[in-house]
Amino acid sequence: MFDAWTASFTGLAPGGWERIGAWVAALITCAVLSYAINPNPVARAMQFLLAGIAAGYATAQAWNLILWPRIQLLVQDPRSYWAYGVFMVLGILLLARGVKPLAVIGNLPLGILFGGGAALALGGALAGTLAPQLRASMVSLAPRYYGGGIVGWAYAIDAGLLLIGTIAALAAFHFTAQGKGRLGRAWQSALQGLGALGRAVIMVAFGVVYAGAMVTFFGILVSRLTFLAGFVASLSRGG
Amino acid sequence: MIVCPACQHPNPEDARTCEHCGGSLAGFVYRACPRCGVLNPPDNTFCNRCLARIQETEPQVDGDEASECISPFTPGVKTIPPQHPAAPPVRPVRDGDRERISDGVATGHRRRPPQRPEPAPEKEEPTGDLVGRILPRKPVRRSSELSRQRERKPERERSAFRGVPHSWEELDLLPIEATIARPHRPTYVPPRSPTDAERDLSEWLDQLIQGPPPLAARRRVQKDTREPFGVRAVRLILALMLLAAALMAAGGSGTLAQLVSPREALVDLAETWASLGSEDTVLMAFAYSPSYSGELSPLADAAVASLVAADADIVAVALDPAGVALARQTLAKAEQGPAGLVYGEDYLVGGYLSGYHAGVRSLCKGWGGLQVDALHGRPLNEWDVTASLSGASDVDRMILLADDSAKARMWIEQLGCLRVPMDALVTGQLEAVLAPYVLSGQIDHLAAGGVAAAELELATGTSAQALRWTDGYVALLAILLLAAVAANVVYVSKEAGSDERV
Repeated sequence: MFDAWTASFTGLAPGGWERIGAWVAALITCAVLSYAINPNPVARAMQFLLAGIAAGYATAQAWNLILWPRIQLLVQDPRSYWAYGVFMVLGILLLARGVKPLAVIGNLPLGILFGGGAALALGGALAGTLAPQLRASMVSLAPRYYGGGIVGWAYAIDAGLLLIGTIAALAAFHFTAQGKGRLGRAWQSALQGLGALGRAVIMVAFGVVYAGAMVTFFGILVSRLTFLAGFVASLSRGG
Repeated sequence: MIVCPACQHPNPEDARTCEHCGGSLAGFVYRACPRCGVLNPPDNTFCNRCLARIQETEPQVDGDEASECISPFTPGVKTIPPQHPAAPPVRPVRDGDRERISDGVATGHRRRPPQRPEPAPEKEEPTGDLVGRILPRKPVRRSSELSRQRERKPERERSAFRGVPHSWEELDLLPIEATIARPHRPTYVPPRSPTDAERDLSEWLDQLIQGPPPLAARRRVQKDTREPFGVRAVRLILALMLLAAALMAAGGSGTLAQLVSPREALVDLAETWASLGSEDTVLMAFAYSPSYSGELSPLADAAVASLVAADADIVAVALDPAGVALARQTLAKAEQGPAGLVYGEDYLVGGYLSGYHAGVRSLCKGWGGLQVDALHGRPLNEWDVTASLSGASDVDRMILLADDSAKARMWIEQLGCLRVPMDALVTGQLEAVLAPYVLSGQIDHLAAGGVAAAELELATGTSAQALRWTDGYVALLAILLLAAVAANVVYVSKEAGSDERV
């Protein structure tokens, strides 16, 4: 339907917009890839274009999918959907931040926004990451727990490595003054040794993440080159 | 009181020789600080009290205005006449004098005797080398003369400095003791022309306020930061090799794909998806941007193909409009495929959840913000796929597609309330970050893009989109190994060279 409408409006054949879109995408891809040769104004302009289009698209989608349907519901049945009215008033109060004399009014929705967001994020981090990770780090080192035999020993060694790696990585971030007394010095040197091991563990982890990032960015490059190759192939086919 | 320049002994004001060392005080000169008025020894370049420069600043005693304003604290240079006609007899130093001076307590000794006669001669005296070096060239007026001039001027009473002492007599202090005991008081500092350094600083501040200098000027001060030719050449070669590897992947046919065999975890994941039935519903979260579609789309396609083969229903949600577009694109491919998915019966794109943490959390209590599907204009609960579901907690499985660790953690943390098994399909850079969640049991299966996508395609028996890239990944591995070995060889040889030099 959209194609038919656009064809009647502009005279383009159905699928014409797709061809134009493919051309635009190919040119923009080439412009962005030109940044690899040398930073240039065209590549920079494409970055601005991307940011602007993303913001504009998000705004349009927010209006179409979220705001307008809820405004309609509120107008049609205010008793059932009165909560939308409250949220909209709070949202409108946010705009007061832009007017200096009224900026104080905007603190209320901002407080709700940041307070609610922080509470959700903090609660989620505690219940969804910290507690489960702490629980997961409490592992058994007994081969019998894993069924015994060679497999049990392998799992036990794996659990031991996990435990040592976790403690060593935590010790790498332990910074205290030199301990006093024999016990304090012994504790300090043990922590320093563990910290050195922890730094090695962290370096290995960073290396793994970096290798993953390399693969990811290589995948992005391949996908863009694949798109360009497909575009050139479609041109050669006369599409 | 006059302090002897030779032995620093304090002598009475009218003494002509030092009571301690017997040295002559005739022609002894002390200089007044132009800022605070304190009298300093003649050799001082800076004031003992306020550290102002003394010798370069001549006291301004000419002109009515200047004398009005600064005369109390700039008495100029005072000379002791060598031939005083009515000099009182020298008073011997008493025991308490030194203590009084060092403690800085004003005592009766500091009071100028009221019957003290005026110095008779008003002409300049021969002052010797030292005095000639530091005396001002202008004729110096004595403070008593200045006082008389002021008395002739009634406007002094109307000036802003009314009540401020205008002479040493009014101050009731002997000048040299003020260095030690007189409290600080604000004085009028006459404006002076700025120095070169101050002028430069002012210009620099002006430039700073007005903004950066023009490009041409800035370019002049830029250092040449270009790397040596060898480094640039190696970097260019590496970039070309990477481009060649990418071209191998983009245009390759996957001749090395036969070397790939799926890992046990991915085979298990494929079997899990295959075990789903037509009564099961899977929630797919598209939490990645189009930039990463090259890596994640093969994974999403493999997952959708597996779910379609298992006849499971799919509900797709996202965090932003771009995610919705990716979901529609992925599911539209399946719609056009041989299975022939039907929107609303087999799958549904529920829209996106606004508000990040709050939006994702809202899935715990129903469909939250996904009540309206704008494209088809019907609420979610009117479709077959979601009619029997009260909310996201009723789904049987969840598949998370993410490109960002923060987003992925947000989904994992906020949807713990759903208590549904979760599979994460993520980019390569997230695999290590999310691995602990597999250990803790929050994620059932974790598959990263790239090579894992090819393995998943093999395990699920779906399209060979990622498998075609295998040649490129092998080339990338070879390049990385080569670069690592070369970098280490260069590093070791440089270290050896530096050791030899040491």
